[in-house]
Amino acid sequence: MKPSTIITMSATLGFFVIFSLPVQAQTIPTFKISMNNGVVTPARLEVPKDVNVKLVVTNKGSATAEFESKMLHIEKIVAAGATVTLTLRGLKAGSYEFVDEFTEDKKTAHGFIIAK
Amino acid sequence: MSGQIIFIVWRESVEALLVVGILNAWLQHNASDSGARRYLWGGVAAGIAVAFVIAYVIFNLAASLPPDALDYFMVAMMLIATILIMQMVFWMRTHGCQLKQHLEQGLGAAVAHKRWWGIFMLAMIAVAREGSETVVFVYGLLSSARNDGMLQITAAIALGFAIAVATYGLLQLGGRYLSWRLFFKFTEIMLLLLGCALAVSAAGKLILLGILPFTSVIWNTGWLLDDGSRLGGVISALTGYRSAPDLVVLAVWVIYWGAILFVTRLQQMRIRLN
Repeated sequence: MKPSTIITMSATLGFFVIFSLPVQAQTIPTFKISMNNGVVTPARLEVPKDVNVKLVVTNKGSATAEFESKMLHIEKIVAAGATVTLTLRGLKAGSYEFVDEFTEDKKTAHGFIIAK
Repeated sequence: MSGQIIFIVWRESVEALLVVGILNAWLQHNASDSGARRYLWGGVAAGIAVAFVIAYVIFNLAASLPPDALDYFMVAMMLIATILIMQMVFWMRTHGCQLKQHLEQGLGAAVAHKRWWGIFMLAMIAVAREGSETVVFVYGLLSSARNDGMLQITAAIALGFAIAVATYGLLQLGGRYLSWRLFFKFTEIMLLLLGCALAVSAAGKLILLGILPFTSVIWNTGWLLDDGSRLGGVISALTGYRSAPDLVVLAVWVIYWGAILFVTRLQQMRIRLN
């Protein structure tokens, strides 16, 4: 086999190994947020700073919602009844606003994630 | 987000109409009886076909990727779109004023030697260029924000094209209502701002992917214009504005506008030297 063939084959193999590795989920602290027709719960969520945390966002409402936070660079559609999982990798200490974008005019649609 | 797509399609279509208009007018005056215009319109159709093929390849490639790889693909497309916007603006700055002259020279040579396929190629390349740019920009924009339905996207594209036809008509009236100069000046600024918005979105995606770190918020101008409000949201989508930028967003702004300032200076120096 030519060296270039071996390199190509191992690179392809490496690519598949990396993308098929299971995400290590057991040790990551997980937090739940629910959106229900313009009401986010909790409106204030404390998470540890500087470590990876997982957000499990569920839309309990009857309409499509969008979990958005410009400060966290997140913009995620959540269909009615659906759940999405987001990983925040090492949030700095601070207060980060989030909102259900589709009902942003409601005060109850806004919440804060506090990293400390 | 539809606003971004309407804008991009508008500007690119006007450019394409301008090029085709120049070619058509020249042929009408200089080679009206030769049948050369059939090659022109053939070239236009081929150029549109090339853009559709590129769109087909990109969307199919994206659909075939696993979700993890798709994230990286989308970030890559956003960054390519940003760089393409910058490249296009700078290209138009240096070549825009001689565009007509260059096209007519090309046509003159083709007609003189009866190389009708040269006309075909000229039109095809010009239209394919604008069309493929549009495809990359639109895909980059679709990657940077939530996806509206296919119907809204198609409507935005159709609306952008319709406004382009109207604008082209206005521009052809000879600058009485709207001059080419003003059109290019205005859309150039809008394009550069849109490039910034794409760059900021791409950086945000890289943060979520864990490639760039989360950083502290530097300042907060939410009291002036909150990017979470309706107006603030539209402005941030079109310009890359953030009311509470972190260090990464600030770095993107500095690098992006720094690069534009640098190349602008470079171009001005070169013009002065010539």
